[in-house]
Amino acid sequence: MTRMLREANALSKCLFAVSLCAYAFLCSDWRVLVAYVLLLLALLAMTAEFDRILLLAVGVFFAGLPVLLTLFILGGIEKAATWQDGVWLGLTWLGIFFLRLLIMVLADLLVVKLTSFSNMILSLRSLRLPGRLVLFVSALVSMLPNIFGMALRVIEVQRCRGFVAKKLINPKNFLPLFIPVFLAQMRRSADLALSLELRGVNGATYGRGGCLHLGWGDGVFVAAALLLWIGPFQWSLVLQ
Amino acid sequence: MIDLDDISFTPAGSDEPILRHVSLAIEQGERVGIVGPSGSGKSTLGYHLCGAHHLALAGVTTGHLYLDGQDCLAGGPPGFAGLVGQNPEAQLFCRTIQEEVLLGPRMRGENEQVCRDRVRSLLDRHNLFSRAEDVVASLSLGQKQLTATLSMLAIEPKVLLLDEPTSYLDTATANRLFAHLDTLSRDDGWIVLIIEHDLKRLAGFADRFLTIVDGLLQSDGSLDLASAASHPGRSHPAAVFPRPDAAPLLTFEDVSFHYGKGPTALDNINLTLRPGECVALMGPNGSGKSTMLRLAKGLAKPSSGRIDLASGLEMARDVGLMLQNPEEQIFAHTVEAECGYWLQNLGVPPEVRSGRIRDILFPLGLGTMLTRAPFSLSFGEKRRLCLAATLVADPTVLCLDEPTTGLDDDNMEIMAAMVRDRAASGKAVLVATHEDAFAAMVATRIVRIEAGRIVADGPAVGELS
Repeated sequence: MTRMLREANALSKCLFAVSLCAYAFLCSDWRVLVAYVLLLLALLAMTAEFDRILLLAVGVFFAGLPVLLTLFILGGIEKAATWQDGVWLGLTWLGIFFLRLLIMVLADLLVVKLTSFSNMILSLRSLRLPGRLVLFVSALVSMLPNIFGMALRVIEVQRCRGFVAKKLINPKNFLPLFIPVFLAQMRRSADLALSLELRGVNGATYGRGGCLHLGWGDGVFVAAALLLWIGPFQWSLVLQ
Repeated sequence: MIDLDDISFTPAGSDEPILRHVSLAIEQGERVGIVGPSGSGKSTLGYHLCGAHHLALAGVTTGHLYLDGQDCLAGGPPGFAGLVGQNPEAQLFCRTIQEEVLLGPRMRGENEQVCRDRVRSLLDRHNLFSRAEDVVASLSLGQKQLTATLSMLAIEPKVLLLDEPTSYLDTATANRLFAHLDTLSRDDGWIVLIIEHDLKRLAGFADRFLTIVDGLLQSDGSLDLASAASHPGRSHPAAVFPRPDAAPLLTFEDVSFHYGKGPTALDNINLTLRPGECVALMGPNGSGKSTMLRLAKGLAKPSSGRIDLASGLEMARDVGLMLQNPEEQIFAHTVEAECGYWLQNLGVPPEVRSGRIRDILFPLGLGTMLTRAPFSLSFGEKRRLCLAATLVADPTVLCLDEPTTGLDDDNMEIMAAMVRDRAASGKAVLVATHEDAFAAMVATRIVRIEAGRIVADGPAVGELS
């Protein structure tokens, strides 16, 4: 099952993720939203891909919650007659908004975890996008994980020379970390572009690399994307 | 197949060409070595020979360039060339080894099963099949270099350019790669172009050598084997003073280690390092050499077992570690500031710092470059600067991770002399290297590691012979 989903076209996965996110932001029924959160968590558990990147994304998401909490409570107090009602109203709004955001993050993570870079490039090429654009997007999507990995290595190198995290209180102490990462990324982008062009990623196709290949996994994702809006699932929106 | 006629190349923003009036022809199946001093234009010539100059270089090329019978001054035809540069890590894009090697054939739209069969055969031949699903980010530099090379072999180009292809590879892997290139050249007619500082290895492979000096093609023919054979390692035996009865400075006691939930990287390692000793860690790529150095420096903690330093020593202060890539370290605006960063972090006063920096930079040949921007140094000079930046704090235990990568013989000799001096002064040195010659120059003991286990530990003379 996981393999079938993993091998599906990146476009089908994106269609599912976009459809689910749009649905989540239209649906106000917390029970339906909770059900989708659980479904996404189950799918993520099936992929068994709990690495540092995933934990970091979830960590950043939860780290932003106190700010959201403050904003929603202030908004509720402004709308309600008493501050107690306002706090309750704010928490109610935050609950729904939190579930929607969580669905969005989990759906994105699911797509990322189930899609390899090469599958993504093949999917983009199948859309007949300009070769340079495919190359640009390819380099862009791999940039963040690479910067993350490079930053960890540079921190390690500078730790060998007495760098300690608490020194970052002074902004000038970011330089030993920032400059090597920045320069390495500049060099890497040139080398990577050359390597990808030589391997035919820039769209100068000399084979059948631009064909769209669909499988059973694509059927599952497209069906799921459509089922959200038709059939038995539609009632939750109608009832609102 | 390749025909250059009066080719010159002038980089953007400069009036001086760095490749001048080069004319030559290369036929199918030729194995060509490109040699010459650093900065002489070897890579520039290589890019033109494989038609990748329009992708890799910014500037103007004049003359005539024909590849496979086509006028290619504006760039080679798709699928004509494969190329692996000096920084193979930067060429990797995908998550796993298999995905990386598959990318090129898949982009060509070949049948998925045909692609997979070809990649399986490639990985199998280079002993990576069992690791096909390994995450690229978790590989050693040598394994990354091999993966980058295989990703180019998989697209089956007519011309393959490899820039220092064995700089991170262990001897067995490098031999396997060259044997494969030999087959591809002889049986399938590939043109293989290799830029390599290891002239001895190159002499055993290439049948033609292009010598570039200051952008000019100085010679085209056979290599002067006498110069290739005169490796400094043979003429400068290790001159160190081990003190076998002294208390160990560093001890690994039943140390095991694994990265996250990954397989065991080190398994039950026992090792002692005494004053005056220089221990060379040798073994295949990914065997755990760099991991041992990281543990010695305290960048990671053992999963089990313990690592002890002699009484009064601290890992942060008394263990120096120079890692493989100088580009990941250099940040300062001057050589002096770069060299003094550790001392600055230790709170050494500027006047004391300045004296110690000079004391360490002069013997390494960098004494006249104190105010130069370190980014403008050559690769060899950057490596020496990184060594200086480690030695400046006078660590009692010095750990070096592949210190000779990308170095020519002269730079290797300078590096070796510094290491020998270090051991002679009663410090201990632990060096991970795949360079037999360097180990012969500096080591008192050779420790061989395979799959995270020590399989041999003995005096350098016996082990290397």
